[in-house]
Amino acid sequence: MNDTLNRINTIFRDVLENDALIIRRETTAEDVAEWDSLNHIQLVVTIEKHFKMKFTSRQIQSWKNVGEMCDDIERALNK
Amino acid sequence: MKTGDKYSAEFTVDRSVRDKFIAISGDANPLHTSDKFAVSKGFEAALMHGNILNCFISRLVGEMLPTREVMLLSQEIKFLHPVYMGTTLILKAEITDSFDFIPGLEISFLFQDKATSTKKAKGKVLIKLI
Repeated sequence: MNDTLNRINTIFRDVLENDALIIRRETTAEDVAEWDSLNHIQLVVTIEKHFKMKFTSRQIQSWKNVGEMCDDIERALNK
Repeated sequence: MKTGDKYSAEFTVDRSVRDKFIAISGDANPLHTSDKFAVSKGFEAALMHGNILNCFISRLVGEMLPTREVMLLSQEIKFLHPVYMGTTLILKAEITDSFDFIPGLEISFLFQDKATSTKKAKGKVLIKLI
């Protein structure tokens, strides 16, 4: 698991209150029972704060899985 | 509304407020209703329910912002010091972040005792602009 995915995994566990959760690049909301629409907002808010970055609505809507979110984060970190 | 916008208000936690909260919540624990019990536990007098302050946050979100097209998504609060009956609290709130994708705002707040400036509680809410 790369560093970004590792950090996101910690955030997911915290927000979704599931210490056993393991997310992968292929993971989607359908794979995680606790990942509903309200928790999705909390996840993105927490990720934005953690990485000190802002996503656009278009970016968020384009993510098909966790991996695509990771890619956007890493692109922003490497700017 | 934007980051940095500030709001403030005063609230007094009097007997009427306490009794109405008990009526709504059903929480008549002696810590909140009996001075004798509360003193036996090391407090000055009966403590007012911490969640009374959450009621005031509801008013902040629902009534004090420039728009009424809002809904509360989440709320965090830490109770720092007890609030006793008759205390007047000053609520200071500030928009501390915005999230275009929701769209929504984070509002951080602090309750202080008006008489002593003691910080009674602090926290933050996430609201959605609907």
